[in-house]
Amino acid sequence: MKSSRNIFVPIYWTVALLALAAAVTLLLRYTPTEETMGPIQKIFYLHLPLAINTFFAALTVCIASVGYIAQKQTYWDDLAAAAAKVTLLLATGVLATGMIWGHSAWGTWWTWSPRLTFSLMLWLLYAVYLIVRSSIESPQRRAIVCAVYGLTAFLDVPIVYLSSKLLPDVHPSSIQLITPMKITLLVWFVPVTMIAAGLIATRFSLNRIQRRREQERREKSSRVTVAVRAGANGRRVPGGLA
Amino acid sequence: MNLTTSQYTVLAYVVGLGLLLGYALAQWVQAKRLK
Repeated sequence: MKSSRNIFVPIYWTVALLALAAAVTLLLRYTPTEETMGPIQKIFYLHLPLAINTFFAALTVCIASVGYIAQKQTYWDDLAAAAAKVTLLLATGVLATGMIWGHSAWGTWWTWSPRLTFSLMLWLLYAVYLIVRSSIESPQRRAIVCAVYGLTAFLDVPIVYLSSKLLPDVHPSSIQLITPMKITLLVWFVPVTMIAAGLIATRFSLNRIQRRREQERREKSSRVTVAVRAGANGRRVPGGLA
Repeated sequence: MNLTTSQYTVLAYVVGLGLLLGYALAQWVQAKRLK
């Protein structure tokens, strides 16, 4: 089981990087330049997959939070923590690529349009999630507080999606694409989704290892405390360190 | 910052992919240290 996982992980990342190389090649050699916006429109092929994967990562946080509230299993908490980190990373990518596009197309790095404002709010919500995680020491308390927070933070995702459709916004709600552009967009979804999913999975496994180490350390220190107390009382502790 | 539209496009890809691949690299390094 362990050896098959050892083979799977490098294969997965190799395929993701090959898909990324194919997507870049397609962008440079095949995709036509859009007539009105020019080369800057090509940011779209990265910007949209990043945005959609931000939503999926936030959905993972939400599902894992519900899982923790329902079952109180630590792996749900570890999954939520992993997905929240990746949500923040992807949201940073969306904001950064969007700002660069905006500076070239609108002449400003930032404007308080509904879509941009709610996207920034999403970034802040998950940044605060990670701050909350690191500020609570008790693992059980941290898990339940973050589960409730993670569930609530997801409410911003439909607001981001609907904002430019329902409210007047400088951000376009959709872009008309010709077939080669649609193909490029679909191809770009493959590496970005694979990398995002791979990052969540890797972070999750690292969180599991860190939790196990932390538990072992806590058990060891409690054994030492028991042994020291028993030693002070002049008793022998069966299986203890004394 | 005055760049051409092509330079802005390259900058966006460098930043966007740099974030993803940079974080992947950081995780790989951390995994190596933990194992």
